[in-house]
Amino acid sequence: MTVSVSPHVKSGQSVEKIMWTVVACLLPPLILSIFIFGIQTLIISIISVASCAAVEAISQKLLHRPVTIKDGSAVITGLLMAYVIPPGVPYWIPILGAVMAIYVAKHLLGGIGFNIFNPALIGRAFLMATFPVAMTSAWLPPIRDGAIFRYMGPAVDAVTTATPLYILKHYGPSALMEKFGSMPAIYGDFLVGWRPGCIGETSAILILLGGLYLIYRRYITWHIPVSVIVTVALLTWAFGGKTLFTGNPLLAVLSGGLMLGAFFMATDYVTSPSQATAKLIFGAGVGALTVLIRLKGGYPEGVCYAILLMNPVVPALEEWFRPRRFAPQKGAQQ
Amino acid sequence: MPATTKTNFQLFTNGILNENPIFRLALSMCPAVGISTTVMNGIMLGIAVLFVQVFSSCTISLIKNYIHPRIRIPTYTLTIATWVTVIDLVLAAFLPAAYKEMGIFVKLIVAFAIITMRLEIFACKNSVTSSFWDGVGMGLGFMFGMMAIGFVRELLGMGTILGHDVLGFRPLLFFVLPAAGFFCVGIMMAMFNYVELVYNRKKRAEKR
Amino acid sequence: MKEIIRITLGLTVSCLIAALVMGSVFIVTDKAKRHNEHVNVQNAMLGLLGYTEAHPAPSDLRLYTVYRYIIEDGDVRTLGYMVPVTGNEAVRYQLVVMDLDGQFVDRFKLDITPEKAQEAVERASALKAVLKPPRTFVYSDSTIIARLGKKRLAYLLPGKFPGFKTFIQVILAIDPSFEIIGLEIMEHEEDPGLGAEIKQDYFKNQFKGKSFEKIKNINVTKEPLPKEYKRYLEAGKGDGTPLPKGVVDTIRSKYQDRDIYALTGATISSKAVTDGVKNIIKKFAYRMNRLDSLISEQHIPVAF
Repeated sequence: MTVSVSPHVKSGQSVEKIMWTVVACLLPPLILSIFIFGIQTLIISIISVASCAAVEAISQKLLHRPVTIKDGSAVITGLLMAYVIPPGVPYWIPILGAVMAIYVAKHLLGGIGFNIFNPALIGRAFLMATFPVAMTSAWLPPIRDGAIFRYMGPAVDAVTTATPLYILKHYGPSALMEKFGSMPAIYGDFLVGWRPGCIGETSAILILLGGLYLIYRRYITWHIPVSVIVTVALLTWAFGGKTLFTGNPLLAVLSGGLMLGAFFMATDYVTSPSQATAKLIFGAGVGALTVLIRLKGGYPEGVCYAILLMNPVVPALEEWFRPRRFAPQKGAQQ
Repeated sequence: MPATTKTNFQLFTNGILNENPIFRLALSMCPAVGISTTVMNGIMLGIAVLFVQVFSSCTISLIKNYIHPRIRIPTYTLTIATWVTVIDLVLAAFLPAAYKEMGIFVKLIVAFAIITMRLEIFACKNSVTSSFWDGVGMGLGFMFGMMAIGFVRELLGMGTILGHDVLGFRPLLFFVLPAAGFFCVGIMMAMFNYVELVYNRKKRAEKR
Repeated sequence: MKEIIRITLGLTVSCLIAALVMGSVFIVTDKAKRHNEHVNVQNAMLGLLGYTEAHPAPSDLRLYTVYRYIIEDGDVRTLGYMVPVTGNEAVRYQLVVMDLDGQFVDRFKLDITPEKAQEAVERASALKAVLKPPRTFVYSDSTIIARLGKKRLAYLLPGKFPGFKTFIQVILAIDPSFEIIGLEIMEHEEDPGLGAEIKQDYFKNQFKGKSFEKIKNINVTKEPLPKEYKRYLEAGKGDGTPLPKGVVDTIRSKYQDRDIYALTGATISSKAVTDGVKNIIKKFAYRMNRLDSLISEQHIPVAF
């Protein structure tokens, strides 16, 4: 077993350290996204983080609770929320998302350490429901010539594109190849991050490296990411093609927000289980729901809703797989 | 609960403020969340509930001495169902214009908790006049609650009030969706509780 | 024991009273209620054909209903069309039976008037008189054919298809060349503010004037609805200055062969309606062509 970091054993010092390490691991995809989608991704992220921190301070003041901005959890929420919104949205969108994420999802629905749902994802779901047009059409084609200021200014509407998952869902794999080139080229681009998508979700490799570092530092365990990714790969392989067992698991894992979701969102301490078996089941649930939404649902991508749907199951999982401390044989090992 | 000592006017205001069905009694939350998307929906459902509540309350308080206590709930359900059916049929037959707007709302009412609850805790113990005023108050209180939620949701979700464009744009589409129903009801309930808190604090301070 | 009897008695009596009240109200109101429903559908149909209160339908407009039944005789399945036929004095119904390839099988005279034929029960008893067991029949759908004088004006097709949430009920009006005259949404439960916008003029009027060729492979596009087209589609609403005649014609011809512009945030509802309309028309055109050729081949003096 790795170090168990359940909410109830947090002490101020270690929480701060963990949180700022997570922030550091999240930064490389953001820096790369500036070169993929332009400088406005940085602006959106800064606005998102700043408004999350501000809302956190204000709501803690309002609710007569100690202000805890310094622990960095609001910063992570802000970063993650920015990472899962499209790069071409208006700048005021993350501010509204921050109010929903921090004030409602985090402080009203439980408070720090006890919130049921992942705040960043609630923020995104709220934005999706409220601004469906902006949130589903503000995708930008990646910049390939280094002109990072191209999408600044009012002409953004004219250049929007569709995400790979959208193309795959509505037009099939051949349309995807037509748009993004041969399969090996697609894998390469998707791995590095040069594809349309949300701000911080495109670079599979940087997210993977960040996640692996967190696992190495034992801030998160391998269970949830591995079970999410394996479930998605298996189920896509089985049901994603025209006939059984002809789906493309690699593409499914590299596209959408799966990597980001598996490593940084499904592993959120407060909203994921702390026992190994429960983690595996939680991850499998997230993976299965993701595939279900991707293949059969109305939206092309389902990671966000899959995690949100599994969040309320966590208390039950914790209860079922609670270590039995007083059992005569097994209890001794734990 | 013994027969009420309140005056008719008190009974009337009681349903609207002190014991507002939605915000204070937390009854009939399904419609409050589900179809409170516009002010018009609130008014329509409010009228429908008002009629069914008043008719059922009066009926039950008329026959209260003949109801066997063991079967009172089935009797209430039967009474409500009868009145809903009667109102539905009469509207459909003689007021087709109103039925076009209100038909779907009337049919919903059979399953409303608020009506059964008022029959159980009020109408079966009180006189017909008191029950009538209680029914009117409850119906209007429900209508007021639905309209308040509908006002917020319609304004923020569609930028309109009663179908008239007031904002010229649609601010937050979220408020049209069912999830926002929970959101609005929760926030408004909190506001009601807060007002009560402040009011009680003031009262206590005055007493001292 | 006495207790139980009293409870049973109480429940029975209250149920009886309730039943009595509901029953008598039903008897009093039933006729008027059904009349209102009928008027409602009738008004929607006339509205689709362009007749309103201000501009009422001419007196020689006739609406004839054709009912389609699926008849099973053991393993053999045939199609039965109840068609109105002009007789010596009044319109009567005949049942024309064809096999699945559209070949003529049989023809029966039915003893039923068009007014009575509106009731499913009446139709069933009239059909039972000619279709002896073991033949069974199931109602499939009906089509209303509008006739103005000697000219066949339009087909009115009531239809039902799955939307985003539950079924969407529509009435579709198409002209004899299967071009869409209009679409009316009768019942639906889509999300208000999103999918419920299918009822709005700027969505449903997009179907107006789409030719049969276009409808066969129509799709939805997620492009934003152009401003001038929206103004054109909402012209019937009466607010704002009406578009000049020349502009109307250019806009109409410009967008006639475009796909349907999806509602923002409700692509699925838009697609459901588009696909539903496409299916209804495609199936109907196929069936109507067969029925028409059979009617002319057999020299049936149909009323429509």
